[in-house]
Amino acid sequence: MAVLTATARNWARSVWRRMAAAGLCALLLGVPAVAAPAISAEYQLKAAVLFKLTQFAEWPAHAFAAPDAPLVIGVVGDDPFGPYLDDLVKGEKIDNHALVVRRFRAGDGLGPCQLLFIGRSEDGKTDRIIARLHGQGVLTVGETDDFTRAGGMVRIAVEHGKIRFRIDVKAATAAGLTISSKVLLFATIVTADR
Amino acid sequence: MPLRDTPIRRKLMAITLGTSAVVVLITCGSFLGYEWLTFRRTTVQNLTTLGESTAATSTGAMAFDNPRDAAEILSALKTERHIVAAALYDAQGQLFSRYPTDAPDAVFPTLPQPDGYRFVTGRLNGFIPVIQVKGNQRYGTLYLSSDLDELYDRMRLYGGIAFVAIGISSLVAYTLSRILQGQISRPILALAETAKAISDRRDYSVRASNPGRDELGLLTDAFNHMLEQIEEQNRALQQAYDDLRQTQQAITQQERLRAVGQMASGIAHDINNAISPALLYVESLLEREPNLSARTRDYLTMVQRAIDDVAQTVGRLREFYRQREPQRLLAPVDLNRLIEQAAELTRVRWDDMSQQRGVAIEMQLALSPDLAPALGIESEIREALINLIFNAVDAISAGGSIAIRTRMAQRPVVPGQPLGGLDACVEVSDTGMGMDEETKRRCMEPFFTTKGERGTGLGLAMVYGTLQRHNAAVEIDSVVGRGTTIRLFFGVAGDIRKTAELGRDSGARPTRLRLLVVDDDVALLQSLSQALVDDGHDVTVASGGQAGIDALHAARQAGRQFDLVLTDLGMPQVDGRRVADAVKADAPGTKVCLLTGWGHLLDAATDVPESVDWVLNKPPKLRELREVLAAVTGPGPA
Repeated sequence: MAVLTATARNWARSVWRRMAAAGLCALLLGVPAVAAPAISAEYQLKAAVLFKLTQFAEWPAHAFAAPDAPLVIGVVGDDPFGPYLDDLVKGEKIDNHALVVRRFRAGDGLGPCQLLFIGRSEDGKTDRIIARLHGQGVLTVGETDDFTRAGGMVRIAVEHGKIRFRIDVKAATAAGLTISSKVLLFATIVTADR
Repeated sequence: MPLRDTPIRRKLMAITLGTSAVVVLITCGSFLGYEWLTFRRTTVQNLTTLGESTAATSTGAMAFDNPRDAAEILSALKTERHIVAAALYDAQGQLFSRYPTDAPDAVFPTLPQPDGYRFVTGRLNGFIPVIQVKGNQRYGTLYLSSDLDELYDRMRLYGGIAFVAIGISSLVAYTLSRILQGQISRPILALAETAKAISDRRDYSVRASNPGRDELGLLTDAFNHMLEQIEEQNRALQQAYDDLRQTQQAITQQERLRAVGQMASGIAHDINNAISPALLYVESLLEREPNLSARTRDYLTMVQRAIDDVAQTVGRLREFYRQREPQRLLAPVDLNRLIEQAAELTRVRWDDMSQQRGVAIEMQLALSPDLAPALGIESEIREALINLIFNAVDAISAGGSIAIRTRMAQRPVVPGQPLGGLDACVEVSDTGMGMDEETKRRCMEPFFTTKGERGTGLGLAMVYGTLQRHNAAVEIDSVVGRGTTIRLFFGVAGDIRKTAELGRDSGARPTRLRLLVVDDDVALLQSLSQALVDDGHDVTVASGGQAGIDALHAARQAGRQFDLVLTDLGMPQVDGRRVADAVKADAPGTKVCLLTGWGHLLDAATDVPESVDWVLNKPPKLRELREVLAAVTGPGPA
């Protein structure tokens, strides 16, 4: 019951926050609230998927510097989400880890993160980025068609307004990660031939 | 029929069956209730398990907005045949996915209800949150609806089992109760039947059989004891009633005899008084007048004989209720010898005369040699026996036998009188016509006769008088057409008061005596005094009791006491007894002789006062008078 109440409160709080944020934007920009997100519906959906994936994946202990270290969602290359993703994860916690969004430039090298979104801008450099993450327990998420063949773990795509997963379970397992079967249930499971 | 009127057997049966049915019902009910609660809880648990796992499984589909996969997850519920409907609602409460997919919208709630499990008619509905535990994110609500067919099926099964159990236990209870209830109902029914039999037949000799030593046994014992008491009381009551009736009959009979006797003796008294002077004068004339002509003497003799006849007739009448003559001694009497004499004296009647009529009468005597001598007066007993033999002969019209037996025997028990010793019993039986009840009851009454003109009705009355004077008892057995047996019981020697025996008439004239004669009858007074004067005595007369006492006083004052006072018994105002008492008070040496015409009944044993020395019957005969006068000069009464 306590869990349920907490969940309900949490849910209510996040809804309220999102509405408050939208209302604030509308007030500042002087435009209707519905027009507030500057990003497309596709990336709104993908931002949500990134957030939700943190709930459906398990990281090995060594992936975090400390037990209460933040869970960092890294975005490398051109940022398609803008502040939308930041607003979405603001105040959220997974276990003891606060959710944080970091953005990396492709040439700068990557800071510590647990989930890394590799955008379309990095197409062609994907395999190099992934190679650098080896052994760090980072869940890699991409959106290019050959993302898993390049060594990526989870490729997300939106078809007819619905999210589609293609997951390389072996790659994730090799990195010490576990992706929930609830996701695997409706994902396309692939194995990169390397 | 109300419960209290139903037979006890059915009551016991109803109690047994009712009790066992209620017990089984309660047992089954508790079991069923327990099962119901347990099963509901189990059902809830099962649905919870199913719901939790389904909700957990569907978080992915909900999280990533995949209704197709959600539908697939839900369709897996088809293996759970009790799940009739399932649905997923998203966080905004919109229907997200449904099962079965072709079910109409009405099957599903439009909005998810608060989380939890609730029983609604025939269903168990559950609303389970769909939560991704990691991140503690709620994605929606799972709705599951399970039918309760399994519960109902099981309840139906249990109900059936309970029904069968009640049936079987009732059957067993019925059988056992039929066998065992007899222990209680049988004695009660037996008791009830006995009571009914008794009240129906009034037969108190019936007894209830005793089944044992429990309360019913005690009840039966008490009941039987009660019956015994009732029976005993009935018997005592019947005995008392019989005794009372017998006594009453005896008393009635005695009263009647006494009344008739009083009448008879009253008549006798008057006649005797009337003829007394006549007899005395005639006797005096015949004795003292030698100069009478032969013709006169003849006439006087005839008159004397006629008076004697009258006196005899009157005497027979008074025989009936005569008191024992005190001057006659009750002597030991050999009854056997008297019977032989009576049989011989009556031979003419039972032997010769009946032979002339062509009728054979056999006379049998069976006389016990052990018979004790009875106390009595021979002549009277003999006369009584002769009377009985005559009656027996008269009863036999077509031949037969007369048997006379003697033996020592107990006289018949009379209620209220102590049992005495053995009596001398004389039994006269005949094989004649017998007597009916009425005749038997009245046969002793004077003037009662069955012989018409031939009978006087005094025979048995005389016998009865004789028996009364002897304190003897009589018993009559008679059956019409079979014969009659009459038994007489005489007391044996030793218990009857003896009175003085008068000396024999010497024939000699007594010495001159001073006499006082008291009687209210002037004619008798005159004739009697004349006769005594003629005998040479000094006679003073007094007409009445008071005059007599006055004469006594006068004589005493003159110093000339009487030798003898002759006084009538029955006189107005001052009677013979008082005169006698006055004599003894005044002059103890003076003798008293009481004259009685039986106007008053005297019981020989008790009613003759001590002050009376002799008693003479009217009409007094000169001979008797002379005997008394002789006794005055000679030795007094013993």
